[in-house]
Amino acid sequence: MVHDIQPEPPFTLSGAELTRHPERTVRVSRIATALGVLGVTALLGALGFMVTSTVYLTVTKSRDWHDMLDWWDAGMALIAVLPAAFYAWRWNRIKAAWTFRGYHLGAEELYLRTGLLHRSFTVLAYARIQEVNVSSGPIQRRYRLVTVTISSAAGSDAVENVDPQTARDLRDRLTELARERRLPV
Amino acid sequence: MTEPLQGRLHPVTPLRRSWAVLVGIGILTYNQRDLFSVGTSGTKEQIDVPVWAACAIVTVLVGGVVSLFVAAWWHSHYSLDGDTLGYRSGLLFKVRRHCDLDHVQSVDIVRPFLGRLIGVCTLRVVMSGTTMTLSYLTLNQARTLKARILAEDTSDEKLYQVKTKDLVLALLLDIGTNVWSLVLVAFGILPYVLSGELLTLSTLIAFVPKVWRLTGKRLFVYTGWSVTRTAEGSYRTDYGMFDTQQYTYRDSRIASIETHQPLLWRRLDWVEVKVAVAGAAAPGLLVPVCPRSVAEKMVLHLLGAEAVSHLHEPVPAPAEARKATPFYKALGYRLDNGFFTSWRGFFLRNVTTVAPVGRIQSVSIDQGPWQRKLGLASVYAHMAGGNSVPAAHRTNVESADLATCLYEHSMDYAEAKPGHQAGLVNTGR
Repeated sequence: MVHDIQPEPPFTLSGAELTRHPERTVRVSRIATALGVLGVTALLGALGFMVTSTVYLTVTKSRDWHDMLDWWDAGMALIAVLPAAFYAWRWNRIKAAWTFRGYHLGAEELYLRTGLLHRSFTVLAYARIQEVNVSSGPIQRRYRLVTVTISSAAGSDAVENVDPQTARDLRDRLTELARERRLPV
Repeated sequence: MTEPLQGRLHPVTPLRRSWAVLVGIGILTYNQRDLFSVGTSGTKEQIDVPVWAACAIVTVLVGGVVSLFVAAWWHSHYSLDGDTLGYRSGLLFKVRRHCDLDHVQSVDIVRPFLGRLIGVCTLRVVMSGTTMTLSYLTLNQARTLKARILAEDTSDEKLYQVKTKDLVLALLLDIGTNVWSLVLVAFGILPYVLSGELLTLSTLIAFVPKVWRLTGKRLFVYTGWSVTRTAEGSYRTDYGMFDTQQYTYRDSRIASIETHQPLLWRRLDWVEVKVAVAGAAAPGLLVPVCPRSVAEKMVLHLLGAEAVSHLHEPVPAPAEARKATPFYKALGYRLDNGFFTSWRGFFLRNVTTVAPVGRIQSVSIDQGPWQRKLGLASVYAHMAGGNSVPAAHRTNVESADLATCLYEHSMDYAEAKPGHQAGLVNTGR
């Protein structure tokens, strides 16, 4: 039931298909989004608590917390359910985003494509690369994925969630190519 | 040229450095003054300290701090020997720096206001990768060092000098900044207006630094702004009413040039010119206010003759862009002759950015959800120095073509010097 995102121009490359990231990336993205949603729920809950208690205290001027508990409606807890509903909607969209993401190592340049709502397609010449970093967070480590961050003089681009072997090859190849072809900034 | 230039930093240095430490200690003791009562015997919880003991302690403290710094200063030593600038100082925390002068980008003399009164200044040497500052040398020492490092002859050509009355008028007319400072001041006064208590005006204190930085500080920093072309081809800006400062730009390091024109400057056709160089976090200011013809002359100097023809005739945005942004009329770009120029205009500012295509780092096509519905995309050419040149809201096909062209041109026009490392600046030695 996943509606894949079909890359269309301007996000396609003539003559080459962009490699997709490994499938377990989807699970890592889902876990990360779940954690984010939990955080947002906690934040919303704290905010709601503060706002309603402030309103109650200023309006009624009573300092008895029993009255406040009675005053709170059980229906307000539904607001906390909203982020979970959002997450259920995103469940399939995360996989759809995965179908759109990709990278490709051309002859002289690197192509990166990412995004779901805000899509982007970047081309970066090897000659401009100044730094290649490989890093990995705890959830990524559990699923054996790493993030490769490539820096040029204009800032860094991160290729997230790649297989470690691919990342190692990428890093070696990029640093070697960058060294050969390096251009002055 | 044979014997090395060396010496010690100016004697004022330890006093200036110990000043901050003494003020810190003073504040600490003032905060704890309730613990002690000097002279008279106070309440039971206070420690009684006779006056002579207090004076002795103060003298010992002050003398100790100052003598520590004086000892550090006594052991300080700079030397310029051939191609190496070495600096050594410190007693407890030793500092030893040796910098190879092959990659010097600029040597500037910075003169703080108090330093000008005493006659000392700071020498700042910027190399690719590091900056070395020698604090508090006499002006003669600094000038000799600078002349030796750059081996320059003093045939400089002053390109433009900003007149003070133009600057004042321009700052007054800069309505965006003025309105923002008024808004901040209004926020500061709001508690007073609401409550009527005079003490609430103290919230203004929180906003004063920001407002000052937006208004008065700009006047003091931009006074006397002049752009000079030095003998070896770099462009130096001198500015400052109290603290005289300099900043040097080399045309081989320039990633892009921006001209801003706020709304009220349009009648006088004044622009503000900013230059982005590799290694800086944000574009630096080249001229705070100048007529557009002078800005074009700057572009001519910095980027060459082909760039100047670029400042006109943009390719406008397609019709669908009208639904994407209300400022669609001001959007435009131009790509030929090895330069990529883009126009952006908001209600208060009109911005033109010129970038040499050979210095483009990466190209990206971005598309937000609204643009997707309209079939538009934006192309960004990422440059060094914190800028990216956008061609916003183009049709899908046009963006794909533009991105491919930009990328191919960036490789064609790149100053390919195989075997050189990135960041090497050819100083002509």
